[in-house]
Amino acid sequence: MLKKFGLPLLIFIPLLILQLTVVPLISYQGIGPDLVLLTVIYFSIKEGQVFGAVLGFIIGFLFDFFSGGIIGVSMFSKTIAGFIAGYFYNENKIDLTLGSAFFMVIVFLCSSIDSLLFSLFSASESVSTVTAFFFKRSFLPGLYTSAFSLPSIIYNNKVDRIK
Amino acid sequence: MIIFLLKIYSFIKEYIILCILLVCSLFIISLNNTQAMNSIRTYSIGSFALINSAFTNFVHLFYHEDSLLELKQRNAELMLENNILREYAIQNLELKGLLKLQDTSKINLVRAVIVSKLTSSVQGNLILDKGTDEGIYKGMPVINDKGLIGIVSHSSTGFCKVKHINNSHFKIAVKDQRSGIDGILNWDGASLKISNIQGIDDILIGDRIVTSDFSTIFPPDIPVGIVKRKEKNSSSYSSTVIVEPFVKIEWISHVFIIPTIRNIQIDSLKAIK
Repeated sequence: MLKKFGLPLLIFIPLLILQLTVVPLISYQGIGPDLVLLTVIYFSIKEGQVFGAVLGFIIGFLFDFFSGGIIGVSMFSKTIAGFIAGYFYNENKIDLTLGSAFFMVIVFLCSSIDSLLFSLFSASESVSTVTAFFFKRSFLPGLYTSAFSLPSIIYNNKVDRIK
Repeated sequence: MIIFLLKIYSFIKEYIILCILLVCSLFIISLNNTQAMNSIRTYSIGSFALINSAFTNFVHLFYHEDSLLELKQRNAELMLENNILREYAIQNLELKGLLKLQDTSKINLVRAVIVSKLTSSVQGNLILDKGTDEGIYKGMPVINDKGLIGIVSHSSTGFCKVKHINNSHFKIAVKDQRSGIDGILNWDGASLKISNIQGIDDILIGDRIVTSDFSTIFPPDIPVGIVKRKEKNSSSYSSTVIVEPFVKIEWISHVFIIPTIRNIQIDSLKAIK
């Protein structure tokens, strides 16, 4: 069990540092990729729905804790994102899912939901239309994060070929 | 019956776990403002900032020439501005002497480096490399050469957390420097706004917005931004002013902390009276 959660938590630490130091430099108007969420999605697809939800819960808690935000908001959004990513868990198709463009679609979907829930909980933002809110707080961060899933796809493709 | 219940449980096990986790998250959100949670958070910021500071130093290597040139230009502008202010200072001293007022303009600033920035568009926070060791405590204003940045919200040994102007929980009393109209400035996730202002005609686009004398947190007349746009509320007679901040949070790496807490100053003044 410890080993199962150990690896994602080990990956989480450098990603958290990158998220808090480098990502602000490549963000535009607060819209940036969520590297931490990539870990949750990746391991949810690998291990399943319950694992994804629990991992999202733990990583969300740690992220809230260290980032200085409202504790519980990322926990909530990442738990749901991990749970949704777990829907795409298929024991026989793990490598296929992680090594194809479908992974990008999953990241886009989960990241959009995560960003939307995070914004709904933490924002007191007044936007002109609901569509604008969805576009800015859900669609764009989702798109940005999904672009960062490319290295993972390339890596899994190479691993697949070696196998 | 038990077998039936077990079957149902195995069927919806995932959803039960999800519900438990979500309820836990919501419960923790509700506990956010408690003293215990604040002290845990302060400790966590301190420990994480230590690791993060090493990476920040590395990231700072990539700050390009543009910012250096911009700083040189700013220095030249300040030098010219300084000459004018010297004249005013002499006049001010004379007048203060006549009125027998004490000089309160000398403030010792504490220089700090930003160790971490939170990316969220609504919960803008910074972590600085100065803490209780250097006499930095909750409630101290944070500025740079351009204007107001935020306020220290937590402080621990060696590090402190700053709630900056791009934070929806950050509200400050400001005024239009030209007309003197007061208002409350806050971040709505996209822009800085002064809401529900009466007498919008007295505020002009391009006016400087500074901290108000009514602020119980900030010293007066710290530059905040300029008026960018005016919007009339269709539902009421009041209006909203959109403010362009002087400080671009995305590009700052060094800040200054004013090591005074306004509330304590006011309290001490009241005690003297």
